[in-house]
Amino acid sequence: MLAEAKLFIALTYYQALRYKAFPLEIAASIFSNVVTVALFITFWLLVGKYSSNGDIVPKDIISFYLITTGLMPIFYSAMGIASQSIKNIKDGTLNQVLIKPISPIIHPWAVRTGSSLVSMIFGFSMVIVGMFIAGGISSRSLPYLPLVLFNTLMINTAFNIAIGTFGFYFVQANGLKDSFVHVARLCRGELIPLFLMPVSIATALQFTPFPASQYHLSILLQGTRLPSWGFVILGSVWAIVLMYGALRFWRHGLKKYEAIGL
Amino acid sequence: MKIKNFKKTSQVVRATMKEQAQSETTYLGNFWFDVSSTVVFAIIMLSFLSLLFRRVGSIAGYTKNDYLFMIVVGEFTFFTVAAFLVEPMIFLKDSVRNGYFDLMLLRPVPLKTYIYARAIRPLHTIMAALPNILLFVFAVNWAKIDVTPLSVLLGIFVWICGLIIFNTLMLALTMPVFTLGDSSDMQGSWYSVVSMNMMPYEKLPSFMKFLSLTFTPSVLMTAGAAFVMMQKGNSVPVLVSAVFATIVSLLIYRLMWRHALNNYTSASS
Repeated sequence: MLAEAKLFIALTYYQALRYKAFPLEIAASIFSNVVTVALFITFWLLVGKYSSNGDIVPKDIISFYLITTGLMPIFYSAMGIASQSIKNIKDGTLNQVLIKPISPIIHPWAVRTGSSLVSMIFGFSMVIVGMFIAGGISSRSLPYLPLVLFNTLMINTAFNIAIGTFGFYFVQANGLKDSFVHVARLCRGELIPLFLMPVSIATALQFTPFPASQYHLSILLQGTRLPSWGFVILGSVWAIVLMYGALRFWRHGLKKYEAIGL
Repeated sequence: MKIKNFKKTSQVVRATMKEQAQSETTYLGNFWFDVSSTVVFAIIMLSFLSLLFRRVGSIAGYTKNDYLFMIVVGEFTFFTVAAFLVEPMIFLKDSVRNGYFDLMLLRPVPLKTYIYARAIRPLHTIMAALPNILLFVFAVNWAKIDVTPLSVLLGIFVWICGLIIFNTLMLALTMPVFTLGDSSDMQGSWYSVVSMNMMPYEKLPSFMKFLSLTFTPSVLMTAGAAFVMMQKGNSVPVLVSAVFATIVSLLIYRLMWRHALNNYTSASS
């Protein structure tokens, strides 16, 4: 376990070294993140300022947006690990991973963490800025935090493993991954927060695993709203079921893998 | 260009695009996954707009229908930029990195024409764009869109200006490969540039308007062009600034291309 953790850190560090070789890529990552944030903040500022109903508070929505977008690279909810797994399977890198003393499920995590380190750091800073704007986590949010964090971590991990596994069945499964991400973005409140959706739709979505994968944590960190205990516990059930299913699916998929050169 | 040269170049363009179309259909499963992904995106965006406008009513005088029209322009912009500007620059970057650029320099065809023709995936672009754009086209109530032939023409003009500026931006994002050896992340930032463009152009802060003429030209191509087409206000400042920015960007493009070739170190030399 310790040896595997050391290997994970070493791999992450090795991948992060590319920023040393191409320092301009750091600027590129920052530019990319700043542009996205600037465009979305402008959009929501305009919505808040010029909407005919006038009940949208720009501060509220911008802090939510910063937090929820900041969480994405931290929990890989844009399915970066799945992409990496699909790539590894497609180009045969998985061959090399299988003979290394590291789990083939963990390996893409190390690679991706290292290669998108700047985005992760940027994500952290966005979460902090978002919390600062909204007021931050409150004492009444704290009891929810361990379970909500567990749900977020487990569900996103399970999604990444499951979608990455499709790489065993299709030569190029990125289209499938993209479709999933589009659906997830709406259902977890990333495009429009669940608190701005009609109550019936928001409630219906709470029965899916998507809000527990990002929305619950976002509103907790904002400190202005709380998820209901019922939906948090339902999220935990989803987390366990999805994780179990994803690991089984991965093992089944791995049996289909035909390595070349082994 | 002489007629003989033109004929030869067009033959090369046809042959390279045919080769691309064949390679695209090799794995039909992947192809259909990509296509379905854009359809899913369209459905999700329609749901997003529906939920948003149910809540906000209208935004700065723009109704849901106006926004749907803006999305039609936006999606057309996205697919055009992705297919005709981004793919060629990714191909250029990869060619410089793997040494293929050497071979391209030796080919008896205009270099830039070859790069653009070789990288465009005609079948994929049409099949991915068409269902997506059609879904939005059918969602718009065209009778309620206030356009005139002149406003549409002016809007298309603004859109073309944005396209030229975007082309310069893409080359700028590719340039580091000639001097530093890589520009993958730089190029990847194009996706951030097109991530959100549905905004009432006239209400944008001055700084964002300036950005739309430089670093985020897709805002000009989508929000700016839709603003002019739908006659939401005085179009003259938008047209003048777009023309000025386009001229400057064309000059920068020429300078950058020359600089890139001067800095290129052949892999075989």
